[in-house]
Parts: sequence; structure tokens; C-alpha cells
Amino acid sequence: MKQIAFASGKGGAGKTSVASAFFKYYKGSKILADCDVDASNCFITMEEKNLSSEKFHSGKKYSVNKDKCIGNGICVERCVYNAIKKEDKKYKIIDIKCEGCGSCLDACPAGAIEENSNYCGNLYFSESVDNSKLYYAKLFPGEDNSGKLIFTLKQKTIAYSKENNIENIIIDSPPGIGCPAIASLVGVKFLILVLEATQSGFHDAKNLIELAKSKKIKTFALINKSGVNQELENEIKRFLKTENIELIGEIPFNKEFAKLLKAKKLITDISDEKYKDNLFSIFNKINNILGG
Amino acid sequence: MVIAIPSDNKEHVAETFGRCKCFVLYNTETKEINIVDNSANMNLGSGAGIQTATNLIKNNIDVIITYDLGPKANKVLSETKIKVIHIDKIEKIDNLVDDYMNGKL
Repeated sequence: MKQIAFASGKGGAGKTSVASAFFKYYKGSKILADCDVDASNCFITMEEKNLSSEKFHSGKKYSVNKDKCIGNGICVERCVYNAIKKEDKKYKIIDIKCEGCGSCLDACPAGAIEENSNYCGNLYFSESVDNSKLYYAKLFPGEDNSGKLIFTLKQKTIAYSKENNIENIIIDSPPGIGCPAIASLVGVKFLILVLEATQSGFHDAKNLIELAKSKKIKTFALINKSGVNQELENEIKRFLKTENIELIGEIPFNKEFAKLLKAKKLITDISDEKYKDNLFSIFNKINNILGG
Repeated sequence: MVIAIPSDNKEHVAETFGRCKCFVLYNTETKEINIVDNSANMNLGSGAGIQTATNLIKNNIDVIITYDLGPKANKVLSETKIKVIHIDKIEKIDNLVDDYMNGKL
């Protein structure tokens, strides 16, 4: 079983667009794990049919038991997030503002604060039109992505793959290089770095390259939205060379992509045949990476 | 000398460091085996790697043999004298200990 991740460091660089188009294109034994759960969107283009779902809990949330509250307001003084307000001489925790630190629980002499596990989103298991399966999650508004959620999602994908002899796990990684991104890269063999040809895209890609190196993941680069800033692209290419990272292709900037995505289509549905051929030749290279 | 190996089933090395279920500690002099539970860190929303490493180093270990190691946990361990050995296959803990003792790792 092999794991291949599409990641970029920067958000909006084109990870999901590339990963979901490649997933549809790839004819081998496959499963998708959409780990970009802040904006889980691979499923939109998959015409998926949901097979099952479950609740996901992470961290703690607190509430005030009104019968026990003595109204001394110590909790308000302790709460650095201003998440507690007064209501009819008693106190109330505003859910969306509560960060789950538990200071109020420690502070309350009356024992009026109750601790609950935080139900923050759902995990889904679905089937796409070509019968391949995908796991993804949706967080509720205001909830943080976490290493734990990505870990849980990946464990489920790995368990299903082992049971059903699925050979390749294709991962759409979350942006950044923090806990969620690190968790998405555990056990990954190959990384397709979708590098947006902008200053911020380049900067964040460098961070991700460092992370991949520390985890000894073989990295391949793909420059997205190219043709806008030649000077920067040359600099990116020089950098990739010094890092010994193979450049497997470039996807030129194209306004039609936005229209396609709005219509729930994939980037490979583009009308320009030359453009399409370029994408397919990139996907063939990824195909070979998986085969090797 | 004490060798620590992350594990989920006490038999094989785990695929992850920070979110493994436990550590198997093997004392090469006394041949004693100890299990350090890691379930609390395993369920942390974030920071599992750092917490796991911080707790683990309190056990007077000399060597860690691991398949995975995140950058943050690595930073914690690099501040200590503990030797970290990376392996690239999921293997049985017994074999890893033997290999290490025979200088094969």
C-alpha cells in the first residue's frame, strides 16, 4: 500500500483541483482521503453517494449549570477569550467564543462549570461514480482542524484499504505545515508539491519542502498558475534544482478553471485540447511515480 | 541501556510516533520490558508529537527506534542525548531490538 499526498503549503494553490482530477484520471487501485477538512471539497466533483457518516469529537467545551451558579463572576475574570456573559444574575458561556481552555472550571468555587467533549464535525465515507471510495470530513463553522481529526480520517482510510486490498491512497493535504499537515503526511511515500507561482506560494512551498525532508518523503514539484511572473518562475526552478526536486510539469494560468470549478467540473474538462494534453502528460508522470 | 519503540500492539513498531498507543521500553542489561502508555497524548487535538516526546524522555531512555518522527517531536529529542534511529519498514519489535544489538541498524 502506497500513500501519495498533494500538498502546497499555501492554501488556494491548486491542491484539490489537481488531486481530484488526478483521482478521476487514475485507473489503478485507489482510494481518496480528503484531509483538507477546513474546506473539504474533493467530493463536490465526484458525484458521490454517501455510504456512512459518524460524529467527530475533539477538545472540550464548557457550560454553566444555572442551578449551581452563585453569580460571583470569577469565571468572567479568568476567561481571556471574553466568552462568558452575565444573564439574569447568572453566567453563560458563549459557545462560539469558548476556546476550551478550562480556566473557568478551575476557577469556579461552586463547581457550576460542566465539561463536555466537543462535537465539532462529521466524518463521511462515500462512493464516487467510478465506484472508488473516498473519506472526508466536514467541520462545523468556527471549529479548528486538528492533527487528531486527520489522523482518525487516515486510520479509517488505511483500515479500509487493508481490508479491501486497495493499493494507493491519494491524499489531499490541508494547507500549512502545522499539526494537520504533519498528520496528513505520516506514512506518505510520495509528495506532489503543487507550487503556486507567486511569492507567497513559493515561500510556503519552501516550508513544506523542509517538512517533507524531515519526514524523508520523496517530493516532486508541479508549478501551477505559471506564465504570469517569468522571473519568479526561473527563481523557483533554480531552487528546485538545488533541492534535487524533480519538476514534473507546469499548469499555465487559465481563467477557465474558475468557471469549470463553479460548474462542479474538473480541470481536465477544459475545452482547450492542448491544455488537456499537458494535464494528462503530468498525470502520466504521477502514474509512473506510483508504479515505481 | 534502554531502547524505546513506539507501538500500537506491543508487537510491531507503530506507523506514527506522536499518536502511537504506547512505547515498549527494553532494558538491554536486565532484559526487562516496560510499557509506557501514550493513550492520553494520542487523543490530543494538536501537539501530540511534542507531548509524546516530552513525556517519553522522562523515562531515562538512551535510544529510540521509530518509523515516523514529526519535526516538532524531533526538535524536543534533539535537545537531549537520546539517539534516534529511523527505520523505513514496519517490523517486529523483537527483530528491531536484535538488529540494534547486532549493530545492524
